[in-house]
Amino acid sequence: MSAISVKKLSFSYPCLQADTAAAAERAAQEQARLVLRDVSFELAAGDFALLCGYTGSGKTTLLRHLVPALTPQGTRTGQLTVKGSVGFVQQDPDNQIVTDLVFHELAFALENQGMPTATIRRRVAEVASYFGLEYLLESPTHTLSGGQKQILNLAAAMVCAPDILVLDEPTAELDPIAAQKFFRHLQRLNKELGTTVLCCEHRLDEVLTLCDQVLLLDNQGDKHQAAESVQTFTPQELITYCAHTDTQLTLFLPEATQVAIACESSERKAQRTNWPLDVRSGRAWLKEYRSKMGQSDHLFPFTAAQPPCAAQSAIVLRDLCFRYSKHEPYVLTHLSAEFAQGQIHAIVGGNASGKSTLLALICGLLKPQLGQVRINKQAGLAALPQNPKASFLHDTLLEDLLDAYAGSDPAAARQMAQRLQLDQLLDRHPFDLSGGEMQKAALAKLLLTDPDIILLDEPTKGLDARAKQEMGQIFTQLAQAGTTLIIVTHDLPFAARYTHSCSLLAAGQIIASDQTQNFFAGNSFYTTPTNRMAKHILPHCVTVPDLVDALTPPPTPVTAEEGA
Amino acid sequence: MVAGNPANIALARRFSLLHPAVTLVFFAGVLLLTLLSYHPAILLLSLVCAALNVCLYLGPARLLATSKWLLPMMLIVVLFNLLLNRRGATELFALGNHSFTSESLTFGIAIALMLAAVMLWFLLYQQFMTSDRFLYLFAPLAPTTALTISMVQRWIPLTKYRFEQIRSAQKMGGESDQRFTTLGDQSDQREPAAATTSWYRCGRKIRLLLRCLSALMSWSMEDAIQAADSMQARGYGSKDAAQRPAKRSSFRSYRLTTGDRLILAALIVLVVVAALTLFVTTRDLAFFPIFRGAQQLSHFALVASALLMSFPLLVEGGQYLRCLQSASKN
Repeated sequence: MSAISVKKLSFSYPCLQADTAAAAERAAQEQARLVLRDVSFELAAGDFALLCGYTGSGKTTLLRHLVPALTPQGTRTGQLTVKGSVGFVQQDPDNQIVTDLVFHELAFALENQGMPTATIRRRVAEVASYFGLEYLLESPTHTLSGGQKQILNLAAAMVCAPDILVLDEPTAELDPIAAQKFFRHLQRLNKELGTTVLCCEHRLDEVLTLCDQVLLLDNQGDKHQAAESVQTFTPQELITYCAHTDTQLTLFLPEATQVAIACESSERKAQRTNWPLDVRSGRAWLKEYRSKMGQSDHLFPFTAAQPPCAAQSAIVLRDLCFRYSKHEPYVLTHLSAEFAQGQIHAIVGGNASGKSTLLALICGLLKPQLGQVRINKQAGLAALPQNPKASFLHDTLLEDLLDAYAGSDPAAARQMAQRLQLDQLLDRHPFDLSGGEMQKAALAKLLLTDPDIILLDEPTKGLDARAKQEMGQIFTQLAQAGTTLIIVTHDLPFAARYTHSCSLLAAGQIIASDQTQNFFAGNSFYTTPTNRMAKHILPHCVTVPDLVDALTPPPTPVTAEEGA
Repeated sequence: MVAGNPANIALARRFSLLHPAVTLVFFAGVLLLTLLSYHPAILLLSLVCAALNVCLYLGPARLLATSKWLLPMMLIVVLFNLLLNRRGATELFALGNHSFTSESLTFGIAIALMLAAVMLWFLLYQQFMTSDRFLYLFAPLAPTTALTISMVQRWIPLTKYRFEQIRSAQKMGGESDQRFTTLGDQSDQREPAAATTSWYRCGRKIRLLLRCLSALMSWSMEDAIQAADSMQARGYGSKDAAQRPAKRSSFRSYRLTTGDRLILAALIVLVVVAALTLFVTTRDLAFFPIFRGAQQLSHFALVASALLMSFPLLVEGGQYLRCLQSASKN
């Protein structure tokens, strides 16, 4: 029995311009404006399916068609049947919450149905205990963390006991740990309640191990192209497909899979049906691969490289102590650190470990109760807010860039836009940009002030793998030009790949601070999936390219061998 | 599930376990007596009881902190009355041709007592009548209004948070502390002389503030679309008339226990008795031209008011005695 069946669904949003005179022309235009073209797929009841595709491939439009209350206005052809009730969860944790208290939020959907009070109370209590929200029932919703808010949204959608759950990038705004928790709840729903789940997600590395089916909405990476078809894969099939055709999509896969794809020879790629998806299967693959290649299984000793003598410290923190008020405990206690100039520094650590507080202290928004922050007086300091929406004050991106710094001229603004590949978007409203574009636009606005030190709070939040890569490259360029960057992040693979040094903030202090490779190689828990996978053999490999380099032998002798 | 026990304050107290209707009747009665009687004795009683209650439920520190602005406010009210109110026949002293009367002093004291008492009672009211308790009482009457109130209460901290984000983003956007004054205007390059005047800078600051507010508006409206989607997806304002219930329901529920009923009855009797006797016996109370009629206040009214206003103290006292008893039994 299929829960969702879509046959040859085409859709276009209504034509906004009324000046198209000729009907034929209009029809042609509408054809061109199709957001979905002849999309067909089926989803069996109880399936956990992942919908993926590039930005602009019409994922959100497709998902909205499945939610009866939110069906977009426009021209639609084709068939669409949805059997059962549908719950819907969107991307932003904050914006979906409507009421002030957790239990009212849970009761909201039931109140709308006019259910009797006793039933509502019972359902709310049930759902709250299922999702572990009982202890939060009386809390005001704004006091919850982002992860808790999103779980609340999930619970509020589940309170009507829908047969199908549709989720539109539910973890894009969450840090990796909160995202993991969220997916665990999804998996439970699917396994324990048999809820059909259709989830659109960038973080393939998390979902791929959970889902039974992957729907790839393919528009050939071209934004202006309607999605031609939906291809249905199992996770393993998707990887084989990526390994053969699509190099861009590979970036989205789990690290273990990426390593395997990069290392395996093409004939073996075709045969392979059990690609590694997580650290455990990654280790098994590693063992198999190394024995096949005749590489020894012994630990490759790793001696921590001496960090090169840093030229000069851009920021020196001495004995910082800080608390928000007299009644609260200290967030930071005697924190000392130095950040070398012209390098990218990552500050990592758990939730509420004081990372954002530390940034606010460095840029002077908060004043420490004890200790001092020493920054070169002439150095310009700029900070990128966690939510890029906070950076924009005007109606078009160009105006915003011009506003960035008193006296900045249009030429400089345009040049900056070009440098970050934003020149096509200058006339758009900043809020109409995609997550990655908005982040870049906010960064462009900062860069126009020509800062020497840039502080970034979770710059990769909400970005897909491709946008992350682009962001990392921009950071590298900036550092090469002598800018010092301090990045607060939860994204360990990103930190491992693009930063020069990493510091772990815990218990109000910088517990460990080292050159990035040494830092991750020295950790066992707080490290990247690649490092965990290869730790027992190649402890110095912390990123995918590291491991791929270590595993693939130097090119010349190999080609000679293979040729012979 | 909902014990009606808000987690935000130290209210593991008997009084907060009472049914919201009891709370409402209590505060309504107390405020009625305080606001409608001008008798200084009743007002003083009200203030003392309110202070004791604040002390009991919010702690002496809170009372002290509140009196830091409450006492000066009372003093100002008294002084203003004395200076500006020229009515009254009994002259205390005179400056020039302006005479200061003892009646205006008495009246000022009464008003100051009333203001202070009402403020303290409201401080308590806020702690006990949390939004969910309030909505429980009124949601069945007007479910849509109740939802609106709840949504506004959600919206206020969200908007505050967004505005703080925008402000700090602008502050941190460039030349550190110079930033907030230099941003938002290119004209200062052309008018360096004007840029130094404080008026000019002030104007620019205001302009930037307005910009931030307009950005806040766009941000809020942008995100409100998602909130609307989320509401629709959960069946709010369903277009299908058949699916739409006749009325929104409400899940809030408190049980009116036997104890609640008894207390409610006692409170209502107290309020009625106190109010009636008070109004009958202080009918002739007047401040001007001569303060008179104060002696006729019946003891009945005084005792009933005292019982009503110290009611939370009695409840907690009873609870305390019960604890002692059960402790001695064990």
